[in-house]
Amino acid sequence: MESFIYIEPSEADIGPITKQIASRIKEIPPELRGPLKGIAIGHHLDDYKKSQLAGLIDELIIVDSPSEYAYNTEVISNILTDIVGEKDQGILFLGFTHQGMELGPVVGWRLGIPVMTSCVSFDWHGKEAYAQRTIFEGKLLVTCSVNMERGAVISVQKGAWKDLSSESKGDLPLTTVTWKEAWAAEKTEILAINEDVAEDKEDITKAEILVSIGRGLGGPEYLPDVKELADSLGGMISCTRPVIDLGWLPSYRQVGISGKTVAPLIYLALGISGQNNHVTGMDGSEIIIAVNKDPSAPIFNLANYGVVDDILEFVPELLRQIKDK
Amino acid sequence: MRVAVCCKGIPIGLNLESVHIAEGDIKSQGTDLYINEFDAYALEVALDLKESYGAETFALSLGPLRSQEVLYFSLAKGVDQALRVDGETNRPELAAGSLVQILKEIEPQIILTGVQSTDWGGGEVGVYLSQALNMSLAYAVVEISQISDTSIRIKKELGGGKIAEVALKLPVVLCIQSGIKPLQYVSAVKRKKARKIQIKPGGKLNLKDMEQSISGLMSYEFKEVTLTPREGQAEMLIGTRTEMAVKLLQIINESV
Ligand SMILES: Cc1cc2nc3c(=O)[nH]c(=O)nc-3n(C[C@H](O)[C@H](O)[C@H](O)COP(=O)(O)OP(=O)(O)OC[C@H]3O[C@@H](n4cnc5c(N)ncnc54)[C@H](O)[C@@H]3O)c2cc1C
Ligand SMILES: Nc1ncnc2c1ncn2[C@@H]1O[C@H](COP(=O)(O)O)[C@@H](O)[C@H]1O
Repeated sequence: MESFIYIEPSEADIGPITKQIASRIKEIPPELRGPLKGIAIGHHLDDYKKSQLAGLIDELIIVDSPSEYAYNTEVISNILTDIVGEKDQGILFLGFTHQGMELGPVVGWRLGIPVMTSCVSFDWHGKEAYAQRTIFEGKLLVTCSVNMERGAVISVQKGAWKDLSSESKGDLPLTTVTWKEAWAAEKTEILAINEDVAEDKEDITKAEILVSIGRGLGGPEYLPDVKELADSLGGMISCTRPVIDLGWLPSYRQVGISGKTVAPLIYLALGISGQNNHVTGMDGSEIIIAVNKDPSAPIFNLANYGVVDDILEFVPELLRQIKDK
Repeated sequence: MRVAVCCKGIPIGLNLESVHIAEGDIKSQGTDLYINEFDAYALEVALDLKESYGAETFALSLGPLRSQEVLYFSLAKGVDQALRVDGETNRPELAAGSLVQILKEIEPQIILTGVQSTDWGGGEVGVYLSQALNMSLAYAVVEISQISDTSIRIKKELGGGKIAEVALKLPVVLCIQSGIKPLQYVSAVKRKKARKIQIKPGGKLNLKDMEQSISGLMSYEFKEVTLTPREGQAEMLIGTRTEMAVKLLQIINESV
């Protein structure tokens, strides 16, 4: 048995999801999980990043792939399939991120091993592991027993586990794997990577107070009230993805896995259900206050304070109270 | 060019009482099924390809009889043909395994799926289809920019605001991200007319037919469905609307 973590490329430090997964898997007895090996592909691991992994994993495998293959998921899948499948019983852990959503099922399908996506908990007993994953937009959990005898792919929601990493400890054994032509892309060519730049627009990552709206707002006609509220609190407006998709606000205001990561003092979530793809971008906020008309909305699992009410009534009441003062 | 779009029927407003585990699968009680939100975006892409490239379009759904509603909706939107694979599953490898059979007959150059089904929320089915059919794959596609006889150019999300521009060989599976195109309204008249069009049988979910190819993937079992626990439970503000508003503003004022 060997356990592997796919380390996604990240510009600054080792990404939080890698540390979160490593922290949890390290707690599992080595006789069950085997050695825990990180796999980094490309040229993205500087020395300081390696030191962040010391103590968290048992070994680091660096695969030296040509730079044109950065972000080429066809190539990354080829490499992961080979390494994880080299011996029987390889377990691949990875984040339930854009890359992980694509890579995990590819590797699982090719190796013919069970794939558990979107996991929030994972306990290993003998030949079986118990994984819990969310269903129905985060409202329900399903517990699955996974047969680990031939290996498995486990993808983990961002933020589901705590990062217990501390200052780097000791040496990290390193294996460098040289590039194999068999891994080259046959179907996929990356032409360019672009980033949504904020330019002169409001930068929501700098706000101390974010008044954030979700689909619960019901329509763009209610935006003026939200704008007035944000202005009077000295904050900015941010939102969930559907608000962008519906064309109510421009994309630079989106918080979440495909948008911005924010950590304001106050995050006022109005009509936001609180699904993981959104929460990932705001769970570092100091104080989260949620207003939602559904008392079972998952956002209340995370928020510090909650109000069960209709935002179309509650926001005008907030404005009245501010004016009365 | 043939384009197949996979559309799942999703039960809305479920609670713990209406979901249970039976026959090794997650089942939901007889509620109405609506098109998975992400698949509605994939459907818009299929119709756009019909208009811009003259593509012949097929909508596919694996589901029980009541999932026909999803296919009538896609017919009303304008797809050329709709096919239903009879069966009910929330196991993505089973769903993919069943859809593969009919896709092999249609032989589309482009298969469109959503990034995920909102009830299961895994995003595996499209990825599995690409592997089972040995097709190119792109996940979280936000734009289709160009199509030639042998290749396609798309843009896909990488997360955190990053976008990759990618060229892929055809045939391809594209897992479509929400927001790729605005969702177009479909009139009640069109919806009514669509109900007169026949939905074709696309086979049956039959585990025996595909057991060998997916038995390894199937080595897990559903044990229990529970409510998501409330870990760091919010302190709920109570009282009249005015009282709650005053308290909320007080919390904000004290914190900044
Ligand atoms: C690959 C991928 C990437 C994604 N990236 C992101 C991302 O970056 N950011 C993001 O936000 N999402 C992202 N999503 C989408 C995400 O999974 C959710 O669909 C989204 O966050 C839901 O947004 P919402 O809470 O506004 O809408 P919904 O889930 O529809 O919730 C609306 C909420 O409003 C409440 N409500 C309705 N009316 C009222 C009212 N009048 N008063 C009070 N409450 C009301 C409802 O009870 C409900 O809880 C991504 C999805 C995928 C698959
Ligand atoms: N039963 C189904 N019928 C048709 N398409 C499906 C079905 N299940 C999943 N899909 C497609 O696969 C995508 C990903 O679903 P999932 O893997 O369940 O998250 C969905 O957006 C659909 O396009």
